Amino acid sequence: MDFEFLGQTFLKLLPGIPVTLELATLSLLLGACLALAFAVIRVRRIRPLNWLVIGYVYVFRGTPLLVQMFIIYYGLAQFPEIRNSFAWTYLREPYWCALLALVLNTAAYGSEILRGALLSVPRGQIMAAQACGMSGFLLFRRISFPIALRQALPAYGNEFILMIKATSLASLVTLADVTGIAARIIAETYRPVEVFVAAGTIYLAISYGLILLVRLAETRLNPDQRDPAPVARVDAARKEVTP
Amino acid sequence: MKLTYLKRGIAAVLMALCAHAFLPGKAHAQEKSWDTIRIATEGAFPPFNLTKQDGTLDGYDVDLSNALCERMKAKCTIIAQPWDGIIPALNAGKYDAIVAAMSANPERAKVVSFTIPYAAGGLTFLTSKDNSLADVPYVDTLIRLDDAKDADSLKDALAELNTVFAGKVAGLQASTIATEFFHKYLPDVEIREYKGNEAELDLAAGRVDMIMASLMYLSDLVKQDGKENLVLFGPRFGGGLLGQGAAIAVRQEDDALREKLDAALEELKADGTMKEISMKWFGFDVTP
Repeated sequence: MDFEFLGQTFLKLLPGIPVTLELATLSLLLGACLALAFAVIRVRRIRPLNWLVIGYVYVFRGTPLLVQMFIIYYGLAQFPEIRNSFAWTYLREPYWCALLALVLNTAAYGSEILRGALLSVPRGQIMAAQACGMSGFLLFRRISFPIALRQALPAYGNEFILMIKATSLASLVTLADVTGIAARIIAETYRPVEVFVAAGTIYLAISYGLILLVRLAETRLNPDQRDPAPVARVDAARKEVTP
Repeated sequence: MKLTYLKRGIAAVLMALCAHAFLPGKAHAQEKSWDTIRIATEGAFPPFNLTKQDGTLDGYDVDLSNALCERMKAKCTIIAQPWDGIIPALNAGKYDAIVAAMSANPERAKVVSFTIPYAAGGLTFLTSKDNSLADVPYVDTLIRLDDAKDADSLKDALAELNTVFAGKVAGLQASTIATEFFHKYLPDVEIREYKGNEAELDLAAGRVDMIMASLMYLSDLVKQDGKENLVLFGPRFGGGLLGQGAAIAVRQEDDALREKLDAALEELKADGTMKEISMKWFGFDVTP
């Protein structure tokens, strides 16, 4: 291992970080919006959309992201109808193709996570809300969604980290993200070990930041888990036990 | 106490194993008589090397390798290896030689050693007929980057290319001499790098305007069915960082193997076998 070269490589990879972060952030945000819509369709069983969503989730969870990206980037470009349509303005660019693949992929996984979370909202809470006169969107916004979000967060945190790493596939459709630049440096120097170690370190650092953010969000959304010293919790437990 | 002896014994065995693995290196390589050789090719660069429908490898590189092994009386296995890792895997000892239309250029010669070239033709450009670049005529003379007498024509050619390439995008295979050429001689032109030859798909889709690759590869490509829309254009470059032609790469410490391959290549050149294989795959003689 040549540490000087490792350091130089590290500096050369830095310009790829914004691309990686941008792809990850945009795909997670857009993906989460779609996922929420899909999860609601599934939980409410809104037909025929329900069937469509089931099919979509099945296809996108059942095929590798790499294959999805190749089909969107190289596959769609084969059809003159698509090349002549307005969509080509976006599909022409590797960036939008990669983003589309990432969004559709994470939305499929995310919708299942959110569906599970929505289903796990205790029936009693909903009934209590209904008893207070809430219904429809108000009930969803005030009661179901906040509870579901708390339930979903640990699993969704996993999805965040998976997506950070999934953005590396964008390099295969010529984007210069961290992995894309790494591939170029390897092509020039024929020294894969140092380059991959440097690239891996960058992904590790990004994931670490993300883990901290998810943990922060978890503590904020679960007031019962927040500080007030462990003593208080023991007291609370005792109170419940004593008749 | 017994345990300590056992531990010491294990430690001694481990150390011996490590010493065996790390120390002999060079001495070991020199002892090799090279009666078995493992050869890697890409298997995705016809007519040099290609993978047939049944999964077996074929092409100019494969036929040449077999002819070489016959001459050297060596037993050879030829395997397919993706282009972007082909040199690191050679140096990691996964195989002993690369016969994959690899241009012997100075950058690569820093990490591997090359035999004498076995095919030469230079590099040129490809575009589709509906692109404005198709109006640039194809010039069938080789401009050598390292030849002083070509200096003027090189300057003229680059000046012209810089004008016609304004706003155009080149699709190139990563880790090829074509990418190096663009970095050094046409740095202002936007390029996109591909792992394999997917740039051809993007040329067909109109995402990139041109490809730069070996003349021998491209002239075969335009003859294929469904590729009637593609056309060669511009000047042809060779020499300098583009190398002296395609050669076989071996590890730098394997001098004996390189000399053996050199001798066998000379033989194939002299008795016309190389020309014969070349006629079969290219339809013209690529012997340097």
